[in-house]
Amino acid sequence: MPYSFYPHTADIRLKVTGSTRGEVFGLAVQAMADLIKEGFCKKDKPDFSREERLELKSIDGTSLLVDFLSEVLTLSHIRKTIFCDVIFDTLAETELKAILRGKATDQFDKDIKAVTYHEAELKKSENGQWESILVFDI
Amino acid sequence: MSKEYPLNRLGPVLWEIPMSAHPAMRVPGHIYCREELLDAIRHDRALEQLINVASLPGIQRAAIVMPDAHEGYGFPIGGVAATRWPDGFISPGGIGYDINCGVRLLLTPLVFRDVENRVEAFSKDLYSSVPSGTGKGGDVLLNLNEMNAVLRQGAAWAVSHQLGEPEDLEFIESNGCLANADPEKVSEQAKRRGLDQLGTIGSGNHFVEMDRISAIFNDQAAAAFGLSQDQIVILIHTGSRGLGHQVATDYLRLMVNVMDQYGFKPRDRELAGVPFNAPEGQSYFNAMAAAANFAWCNREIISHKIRQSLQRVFNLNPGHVKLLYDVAHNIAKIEDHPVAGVPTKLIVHRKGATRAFGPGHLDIPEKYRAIGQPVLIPGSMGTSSFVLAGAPNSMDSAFGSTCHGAGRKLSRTAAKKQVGGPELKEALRKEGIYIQAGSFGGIAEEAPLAYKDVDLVVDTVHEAGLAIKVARLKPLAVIKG
Repeated sequence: MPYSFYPHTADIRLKVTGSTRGEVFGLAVQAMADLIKEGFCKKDKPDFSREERLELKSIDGTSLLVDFLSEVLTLSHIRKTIFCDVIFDTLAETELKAILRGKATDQFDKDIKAVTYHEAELKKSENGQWESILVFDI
Repeated sequence: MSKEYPLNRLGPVLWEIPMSAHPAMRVPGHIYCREELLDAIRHDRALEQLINVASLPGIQRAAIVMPDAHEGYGFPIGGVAATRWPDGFISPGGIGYDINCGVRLLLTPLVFRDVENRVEAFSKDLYSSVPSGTGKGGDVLLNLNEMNAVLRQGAAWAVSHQLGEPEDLEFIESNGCLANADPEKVSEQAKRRGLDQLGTIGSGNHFVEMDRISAIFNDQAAAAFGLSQDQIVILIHTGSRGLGHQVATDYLRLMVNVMDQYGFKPRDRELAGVPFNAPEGQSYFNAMAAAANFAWCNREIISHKIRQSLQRVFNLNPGHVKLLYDVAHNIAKIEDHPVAGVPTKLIVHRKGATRAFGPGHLDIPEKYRAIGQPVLIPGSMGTSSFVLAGAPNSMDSAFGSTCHGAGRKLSRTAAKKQVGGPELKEALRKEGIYIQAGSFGGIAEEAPLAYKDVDLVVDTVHEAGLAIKVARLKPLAVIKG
């Protein structure tokens, strides 16, 4: 399982694992979409009618992951869109340029208030996989 | 399971993690709870997080958790932390993402026999008129100029637009408006998230509830508050919606980026903060105030919609529905409290904790001043909620604070494994409680079994002298996102 959920008393604790940093970022976007509206991105033939460009700089790799997901969440709320997919033009250690692709929706099933820095640490594990914990405030 | 930390018993319901528990601690950790609740507080990372808070620069006297405490993200939920004004740290994580999440209670002249045959009709009317759920906007649509006015004026904006009652303002914490609010410090993204969200509940544990007063514990306080047995009241629990979430996100990111300049490297980035008097600290405090004002305006407009609903279903004059009080439980305030016996100006962070000023405090409306500030404690949807009154020991021991709810004990996933939404809705229906919600999953996540025993929580703060019990409320109808 590329991402899995772990217990947290009030919020949601997620672990994302990928063979590259880009895969972790992309899987985290998918996990977040699945939390917001389960199955929405997988339903029928994907029809990514909405696109958003995103450019971001952060102080380190972990912050870039958290800040990126925060931006995705913000755009989801403002555009009333669930983003299912991301294509990176650039994904460096502390900056990225990306295109988010998704679909409009009139309502979310779950309110993710925020993507927190709590416990987040993007690192390469001993088996060569990139991984991070992410805690969402619900 | 949390690590085991040494606990000293300081009193019947007060425990201490001594500073010797961790070298980074600047003050001890204090835990208010009855012995029966201790295991629930120890089972997750709440105490580890309390130790992290006790290590913050400028923290005074003790980092405190209330009996409803549980693990949060950075700061524990149910916590109070006061730092030295003006150079102690302010941390957005110590307020939370839902800035000025809070509770208000509306009092009606109705009693149970007036409503018992129309509770379900009222719940449906309310569900259709007060938008709930995520991403669902309301019918109050602002432009950016109007948004700036809301952020400056708070609840008064609703009143001036015929969406609230003028007499409500006296009975809102800080009269529903923090004067230091500065819309210029709120990002356009945050404002855009809020443009269609006034008058909406949101989801998660937020709700509007019709309750019946099922017990009075203190006749004098109940009389002063206008509460009587069997009276019908309406409890509202919501906050600053996406606007507040975005303000917190924006400023946490900023503080993660700049805190190094102030020599601060917390054990958890979610504790990121800067000195209160640093430019970033001032900007956050003024943006937080703007978000708090948005939340008060939101609860005022929701009250307006509830008054309309009560008029439609029960032919009740909206002017006859009075506001008891409105309290914030996610906020930072500048307040005077004793430190080493000397009144001292402090930056009080309350994250899942309610202000509970004791009798005589000048910030309490004159009508209640002799009794103490009304404190509203929502329970879970199948149990009880409580009205309390702030008591003297809250001022002496807890920076004028008390608990804020029952406090979760089970994760959302665990709750859903133990109970299904349809069964729970039916079970509550048999107890005379009508639930209107956006999804069965949402109902199951908020099941009463996911929460601690609210009676034990409230008994703790009563025994500790932080707040006294005034009345118990039993739900009749619950509207959730």
